[in-house]
Amino acid sequence: MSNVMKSDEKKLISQLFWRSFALEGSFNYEKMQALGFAWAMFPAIKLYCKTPQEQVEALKRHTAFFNITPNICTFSLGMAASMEKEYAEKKDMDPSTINAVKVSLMGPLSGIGDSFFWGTFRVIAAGVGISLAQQGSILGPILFLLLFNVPHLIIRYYCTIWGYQLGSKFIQTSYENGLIQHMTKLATVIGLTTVGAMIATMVTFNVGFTAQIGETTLVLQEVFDQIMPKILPLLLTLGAFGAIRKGVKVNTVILAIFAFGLIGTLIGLL
Amino acid sequence: MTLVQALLIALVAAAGQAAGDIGGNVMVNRPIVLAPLVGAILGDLQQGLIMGAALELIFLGVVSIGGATPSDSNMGSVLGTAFAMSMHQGVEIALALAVPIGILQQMVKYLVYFFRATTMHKVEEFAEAGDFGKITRFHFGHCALYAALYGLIAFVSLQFGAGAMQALVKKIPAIIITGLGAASQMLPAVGFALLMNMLWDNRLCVFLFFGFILSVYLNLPIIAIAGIAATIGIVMIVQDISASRTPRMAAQPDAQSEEEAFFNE
Repeated sequence: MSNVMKSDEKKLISQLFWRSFALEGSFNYEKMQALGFAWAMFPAIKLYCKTPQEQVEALKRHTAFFNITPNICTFSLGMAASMEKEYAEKKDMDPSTINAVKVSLMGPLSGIGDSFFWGTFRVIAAGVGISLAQQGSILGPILFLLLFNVPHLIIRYYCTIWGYQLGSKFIQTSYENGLIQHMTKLATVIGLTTVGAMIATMVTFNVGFTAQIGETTLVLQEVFDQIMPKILPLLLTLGAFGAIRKGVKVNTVILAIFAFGLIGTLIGLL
Repeated sequence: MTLVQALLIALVAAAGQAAGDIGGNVMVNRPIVLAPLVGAILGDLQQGLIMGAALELIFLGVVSIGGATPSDSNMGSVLGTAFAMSMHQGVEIALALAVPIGILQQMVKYLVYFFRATTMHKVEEFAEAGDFGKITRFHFGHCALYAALYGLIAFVSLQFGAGAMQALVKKIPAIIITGLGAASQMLPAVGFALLMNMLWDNRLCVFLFFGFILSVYLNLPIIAIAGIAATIGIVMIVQDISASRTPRMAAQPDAQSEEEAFFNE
């Protein structure tokens, strides 16, 4: 496929990009983001499906179940649009491949999308934003939004073009040459490191327990601090993580922490 | 809280909900953005920012992956901030209210997703008829319907729940408030645990401790730590790539080199 796009294709890219924002408007348990996907595809369907019958078929295709990390749904939109174009040009193609390719990419794309957008960009943006907002600075929410959305919107826009120009071949070769695995690894390294750093700065767990042993006063917190500062927040987080891994419900863990905080304060441990 | 203030706060809640649905996941519906807005409406932006920071921390791990979210951070943070500020209470009360409110609202959301699912057969009819307009109206109608319900829930809670909430909070002894404060400072642990659960990789988990140590002993800011992690991550990838290329260059039969490349990953 040539890399030079015609003007109607450029217009289509920007339409797909802007319409992708409304992806989750009717999110539900049956078709998830299907309706939003179909709505975003309208310009492509109208551009490449000339007869009403073709449009009906395309609408049916794109109102089928769909679910992906919303921030990179533009890749799927671009790819589906280019496949609709291909189908319009050579009718011998089996149209069911359009949905097959779309669905087969939901998992891998979401895997990388979730770890980048939810696990990395948002955590870094929140880390910076929270520490400013804690001091009552309006820059907190502003920087939070900027740090997340500048990379987000750039990637979101370029994903439309990549999806359209490179399509499914891109994902296939990315798997073969390891690009997807590398990107996932990078997101995991950055994400885990920043989470580790934020456990130290943002979880507060101190014990106020003191004991009189002969002449000396034992301050329990000082003992912990000598082992390693912030060791209690780290252990608490690892404990919560272990519980969630074992399948304990998140709300149960939250309740347990509330109970621990209350009881710990009442008996003078905290 | 005046009627106008309650209306404006309900509007913030509804707008946050709609933005989450059709706003392209740009994070304007996160507590760190919504709580300062509520604070500004109630005349204390500073307090709103401080509450927003605390709420963002406990809801940090609340991420919507595949529609399975444990808590609705939007309603929790808007109502938690509004109640706490109107009662002149601190962050601990905002957090103690936000958590259960968020869980309750999430149940409402599950019902809405279920209700929407029961209407999806209509979409197949619209597609069959080739009716673009009806699909558009259906899609945005669902969004508007829930946003309206969302705003209504927020408004009714603020108008009729504030008195009961005030009476309840007044009865809470001071030591319980202290305990709630201690618990709310520990709660971010759950958020981080959820993030770790999402990111976890046995071979890479040492980076969690790496970040922890950089922060505890070197006091580096978060951007610096992210930068160091990115550098190391890129170095690792470059090494992976050269390691996977070496066996291919040695003239091995294809099947074997692929196998080797696989184990080198």
